[in-house]
Amino acid sequence: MPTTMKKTTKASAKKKKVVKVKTSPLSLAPIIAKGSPAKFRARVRMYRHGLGDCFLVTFPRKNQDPFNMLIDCGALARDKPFMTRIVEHIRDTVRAGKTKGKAKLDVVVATHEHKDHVSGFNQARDVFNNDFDFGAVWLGWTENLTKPEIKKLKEAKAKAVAKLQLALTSRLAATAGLQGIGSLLNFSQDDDTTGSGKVAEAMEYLKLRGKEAGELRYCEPGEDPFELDGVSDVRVYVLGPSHDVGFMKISEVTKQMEKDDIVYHLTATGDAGMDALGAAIPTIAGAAGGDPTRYLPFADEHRITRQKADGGSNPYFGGIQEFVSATYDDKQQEWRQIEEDWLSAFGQLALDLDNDTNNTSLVLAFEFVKTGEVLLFVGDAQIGNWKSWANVEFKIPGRTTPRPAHDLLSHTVFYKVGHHCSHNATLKKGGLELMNREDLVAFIPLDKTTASKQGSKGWEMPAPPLFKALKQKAGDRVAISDVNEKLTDNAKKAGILSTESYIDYFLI
Amino acid sequence: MPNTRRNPGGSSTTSTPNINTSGTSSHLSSEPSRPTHRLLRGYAFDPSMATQLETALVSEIMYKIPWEDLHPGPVGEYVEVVDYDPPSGCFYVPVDLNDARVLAQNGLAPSEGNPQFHQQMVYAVAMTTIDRFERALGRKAFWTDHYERQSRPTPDQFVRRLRIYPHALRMANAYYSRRKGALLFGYFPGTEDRTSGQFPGGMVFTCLSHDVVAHETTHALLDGFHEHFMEATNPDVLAFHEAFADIVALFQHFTFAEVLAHQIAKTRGDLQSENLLAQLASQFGHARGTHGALRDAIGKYDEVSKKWIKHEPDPTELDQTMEVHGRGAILVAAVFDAFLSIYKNRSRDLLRLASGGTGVLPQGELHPDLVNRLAQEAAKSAGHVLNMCFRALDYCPPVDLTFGDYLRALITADLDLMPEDEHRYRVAFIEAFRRRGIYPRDVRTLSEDSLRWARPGEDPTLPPGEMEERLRHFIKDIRLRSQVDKLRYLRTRREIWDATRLIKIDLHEGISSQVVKAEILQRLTGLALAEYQAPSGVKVHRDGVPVFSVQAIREARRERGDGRVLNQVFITILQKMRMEHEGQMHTIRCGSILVLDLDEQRISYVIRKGLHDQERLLGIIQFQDSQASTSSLSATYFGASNEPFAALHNMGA
Repeated sequence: MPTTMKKTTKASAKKKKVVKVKTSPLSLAPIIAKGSPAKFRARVRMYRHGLGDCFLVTFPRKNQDPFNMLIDCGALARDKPFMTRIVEHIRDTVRAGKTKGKAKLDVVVATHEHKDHVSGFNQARDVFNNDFDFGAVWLGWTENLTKPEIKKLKEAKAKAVAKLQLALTSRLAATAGLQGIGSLLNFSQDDDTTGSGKVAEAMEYLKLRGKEAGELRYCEPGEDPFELDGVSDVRVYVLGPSHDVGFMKISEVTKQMEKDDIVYHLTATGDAGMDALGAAIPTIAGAAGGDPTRYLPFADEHRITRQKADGGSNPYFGGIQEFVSATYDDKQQEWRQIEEDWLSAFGQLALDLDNDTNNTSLVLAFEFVKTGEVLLFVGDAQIGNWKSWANVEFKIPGRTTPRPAHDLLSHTVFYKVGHHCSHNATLKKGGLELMNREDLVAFIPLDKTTASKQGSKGWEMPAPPLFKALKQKAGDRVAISDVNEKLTDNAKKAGILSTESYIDYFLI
Repeated sequence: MPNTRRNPGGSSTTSTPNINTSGTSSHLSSEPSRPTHRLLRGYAFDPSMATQLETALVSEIMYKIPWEDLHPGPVGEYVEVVDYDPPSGCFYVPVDLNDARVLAQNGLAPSEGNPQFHQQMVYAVAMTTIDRFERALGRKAFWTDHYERQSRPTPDQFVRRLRIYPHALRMANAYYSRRKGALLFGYFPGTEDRTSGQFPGGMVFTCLSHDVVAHETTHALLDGFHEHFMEATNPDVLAFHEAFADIVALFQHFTFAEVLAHQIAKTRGDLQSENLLAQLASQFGHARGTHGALRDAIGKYDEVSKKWIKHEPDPTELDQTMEVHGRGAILVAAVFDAFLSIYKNRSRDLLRLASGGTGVLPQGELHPDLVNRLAQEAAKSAGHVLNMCFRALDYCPPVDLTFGDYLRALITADLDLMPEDEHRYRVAFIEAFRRRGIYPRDVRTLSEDSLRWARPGEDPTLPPGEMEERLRHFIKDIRLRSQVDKLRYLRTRREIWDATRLIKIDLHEGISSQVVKAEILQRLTGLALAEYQAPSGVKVHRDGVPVFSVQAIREARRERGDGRVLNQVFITILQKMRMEHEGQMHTIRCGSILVLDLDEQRISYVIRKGLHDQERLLGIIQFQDSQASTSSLSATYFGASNEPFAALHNMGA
């Protein structure tokens, strides 16, 4: 997710007091937080860099450098120098104090193609190129463009984005129906004002690095759990994205959609529907392009416009003038006019787009085999993705019956909260309710200021009911990456350490 | 609409013969009588049926609409069709159904490419639906009043006509908008898939589907009747709105005799089992194209065995289904089950007659006479079921409706009108609801008698008979009979609306000015009506009288099964309650309906959702909290929607 519009750049400028980094690059916290334990089995570092995900997960190894995994690196409203400094900090952390030599990221994961999860790979490309070795790149199977159905999906997405952008550049942009779509579109829009470049480019770059490293893994849900090189006792499980199309939408997929082979169907009407919608834009805006008449519901001779195309009065409209004056144009009944209602179709399109992409999130669980603790990273998985886990099972060596994915939830001790704690991105029943460990900790990557500036009313993040439920489940051990948030006492007691640049969780 | 609409017959330049012209002096005895009906051609389902040989014969039917003066649009007493298409930036010429050329051939011929036919189709289906509604309830239908932001009630709030926009949206959606007092229909290019049996990429018009139009019109009718049924206070409220709209659309099909006969003849094989009609319903659901849940709740076509399989009702299903459409489908299926039993009962003798007493039909096609008689029975059963469903609305609580409440309303309404249940309709309903797990939460048994709403009981603190006496006084004091008499000879809906408004004000005065009455009423309704007794949370005027409103008064004179006339009045009283729960304030609407028998001068029932049922109030708060956490992505990004049905009906989401 991406983008940056001028507005958002301004927003980050305002935040200067928060983001001290901007004026003094050296003020990022030291690579080891004060009070860190000498020995631990895993450390999860959440960067406090804005509305977006950037997690560095470290598993110490015997007689070897620790195993480092970077899960996502992106932000919605941050510029290139800022993200570069974050990535340099990651580099320094991985180098563990050394100032020379390549920093080795054993695995780099991009959960899904949204700007707030991958922009850093574009913005700090130089650092990634010059200073980092990649051991492997993991992506969800939905990023495997060699499969024709996935390619089709991506093309449909690109088309939807194009239609929305078209609408936003027309004179309709100011209408209520299109309010809020702009910032929603930021997730997938390509925009260069912050140097975040194209989201697709970031994904391409990662694929390239993965191929170079010799391990580009497209993860499939329910595939056999695997181990991390040199890390004893940790098993990795892939829970999503689901292969089942139905779960990509929150609600049920109709037979018709299956027939249409619209894998992640974007609108009920598919391609033609989008074209028809798009065709309406120029007819209103008076702009040229395409053949708008193709999608008119009736032959042209049925159309009675108020004015002729050249602006002159339309004699046929004169014929119905009396009717229109007494009904649609009646001043007393202005409240019944419907000029903008049809624009809600664009809102729906933008939502579908966002939802579908979020549901392609790669969901990973890391299990400590002997003791059973699980670290859970869900990307931005929406309800549909969560629901699909009910049917995911894993073959475990030495176990006669497969292990249900839900079993992992009940052992979760660390939960990376999905979609910045919006209320449709953490399933209650069959999700959060299954997380019953006494020592559960939840990390929310969220910058409240940025979220509140999005759309016309601001985004509801965190969603109060979910936040409440989370706090209850995790015994108040919930940490938010927002730099204005303080750690709770319970979080401190649980050994969570906070600096101004990151928050660390340790599994001792 | 404050301005009287000009008569297009008078001002139009073309001299179309207009039946309504009344300028010239007429010769009374030679003047033709006013027609009772207007016949209009239209699609029975939707246009796709017309292009398949098998169904082409019955794809068109004649809609028979009560005659009314019409202006181009069509604009009549209840609806105005305004064909403005904003995405295409144009109007379409309003159809004049009084044009002699149109009248002479029962309306324009069905055509997808002619916008004037589209206008005729939405008018025909909407009016058919409104007519059924009025006939069942025996009174005029009204639309929800139009409020300008919290303003006080004024005569300007009357909405005479529901506006219908047949081509308002360029998307696969259609919805009722209370905010605009309008139905908005969309159109969209169909699927490009060549195997779907439809013209690839052809334009699909939601306004040409009988089911979609009937469904949306029913939403509007229901909203005009119970305006708080769009407030989701429990999982059933919105589901009921959807289910009711589906029930009306579905059973309206069963009143089309030609279609019914065709289908009964065609699917004869299995007349003994209920499959036949259930299958019919599933096709109707399919034609609608949007309600997979409706089809699945009744049964579905099994791909493997190539057979249609009835869905076995599961009493636990309701508990597991929280999604609005899924839940609504369960209610539809329950009503449909009841209908099947009723039809089976009514047609059993016919089958025996036709099969020499065995009840097992011989091989081959059915005799056309038998088909017609069966179709008649089915149509009659469907008509009765639909009437029962409509009449139950009078007996529904004004807020926080549950499916269980609806069952009680159905049973009570029918007990009042048909004390002798010859064909066991009520048993059929109770059984069907029980098998789908729909129970009221507050009855001891599922017998007719305990399902019937409670009569006002004795007050133990009063001497015997005192309560009854006081109630009689109360009815006398508020001059209910003379109030209702005011409504008696009013002809136009506007007059009725105006008179009702004044009666409501009078009643409110009457109740709040006399503490004694208010006290009795308070006990009955579970609301706070008397001076200085309101619990905290209920707003109180400066003079100590709690704030409440008389939201509605409806009268009903209906003929009972035994030929007597039932003379009833329904009074709805509402009150808001604010309560604190876990540090947050919640406003909850409570309300009760008094059902009074005007002949007997007594209160027959009090159907209440009062202030004092803590468990219920807590349930509402918890439900609304849980809704917040499962609501849509749209709420995260755009905030709450102001078109609730737009989201519910979106065929993409």
